Amino acid sequence: MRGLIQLIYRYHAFLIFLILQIICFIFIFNFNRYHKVMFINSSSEILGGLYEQRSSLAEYIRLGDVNDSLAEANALMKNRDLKNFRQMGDDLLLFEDSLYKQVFEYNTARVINVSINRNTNFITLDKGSALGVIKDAGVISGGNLVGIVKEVSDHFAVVMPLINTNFRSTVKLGRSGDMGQYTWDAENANQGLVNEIPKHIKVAFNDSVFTTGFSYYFPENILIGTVAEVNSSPEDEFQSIRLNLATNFRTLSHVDIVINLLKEEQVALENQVDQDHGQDAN
Amino acid sequence: MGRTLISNIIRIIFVIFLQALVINRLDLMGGLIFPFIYIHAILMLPLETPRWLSLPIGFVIGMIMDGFMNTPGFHASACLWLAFLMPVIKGFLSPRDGYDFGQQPTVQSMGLRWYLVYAAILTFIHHLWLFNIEFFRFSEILSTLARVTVSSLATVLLLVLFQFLTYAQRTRQ
Repeated sequence: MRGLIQLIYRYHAFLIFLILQIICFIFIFNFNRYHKVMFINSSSEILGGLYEQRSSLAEYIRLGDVNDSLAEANALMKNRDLKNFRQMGDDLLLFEDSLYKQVFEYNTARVINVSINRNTNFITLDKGSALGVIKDAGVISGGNLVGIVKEVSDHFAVVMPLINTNFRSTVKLGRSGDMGQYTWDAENANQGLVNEIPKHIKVAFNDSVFTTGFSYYFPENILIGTVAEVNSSPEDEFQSIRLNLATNFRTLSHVDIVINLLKEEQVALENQVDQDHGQDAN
Repeated sequence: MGRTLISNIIRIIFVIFLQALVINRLDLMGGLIFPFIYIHAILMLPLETPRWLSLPIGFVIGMIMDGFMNTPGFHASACLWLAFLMPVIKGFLSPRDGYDFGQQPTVQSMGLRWYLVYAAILTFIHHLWLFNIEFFRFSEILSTLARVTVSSLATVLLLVLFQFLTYAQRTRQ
């Protein structure tokens, strides 16, 4: 016993180091596996509040009020846009509701922090669950894709943008409608990659790349970027495209949060099908 | 003792704010160079700080930094290496008759050469660990090493500049 205590005393520094390091790795691996920020982050009230202070100072210089009112007006217009409504029935006698049901709801938010020079970049917004922002909502800016809301607190939201190495999304080419997989390689905050496009497809330079309608998060045809470069290596059966991103993350100040009002219904139905018929298919 | 404690706490808070609100917003060569000068707060702990104290301090500073950057554990882990290896580097660099009590690890007190070696070795270790954890891919090891090297150089440069800015006046008084 005495020997044990002596041993602990002798190596106490190393033991503290080891214990704390293990705690660190628990954080690191939980984060990487589930893409989940499990501890305080910039969506927390204190750190988020601090970012907000700094950002409000910066916005004063950028004439923030004008921007605010413009963004607000924009979101209002989008909420009324017929494109975001889906026809729910052809019966004009439906009472209460009109012919259309709103699928996507737009909310404007202010960007209070952006990182662009790391592998795992994030954007912090000044609106949270208190104002209806939910996890997994899409984020767009001026008609261009920005990212997906990953974490929400009462008054802040953290967005995983296109320029995060964990971001994945199916996208389609504007001309042919062929689909590929969007990723980011941490090379450049203005450019992203689209992989898994079969070789026989001719990709036009400067062709636009859009979101597909298959995502729960975004409406169809939100612009992601334009083709800057096409790479194909002989040993690979797919070609990869380098995109110039449409969103300039360096000057991002206002964004629209897009909430899919029918997402839960769709997910529930698809899960139901998986449960009922998933085994047969496998 | 009380003065050392207060000045260290103020320094830690100031340096964290500087890193989170100013340095993190710099975009140097498309993110190739990323200085982390918040480690100044750990490097400046008094020379005789025992490890059982410097390790938790490093851990907490790292966790706060992680909070700002949404990278749980990355900075805390790198700071632990820093705090753990600091006494080793100090011992390795110690003058023949040891350090005087109360001597600070600054340029003014230890000389530029001592400080450069001290800061460069520890910064490199910190950045090496941090960048490799962040990438977590062995295939990228060369580009990571390049990033580590240029970022370390930038950090050391900023650390030395910072020393001259903050401690020059104190010696004059």
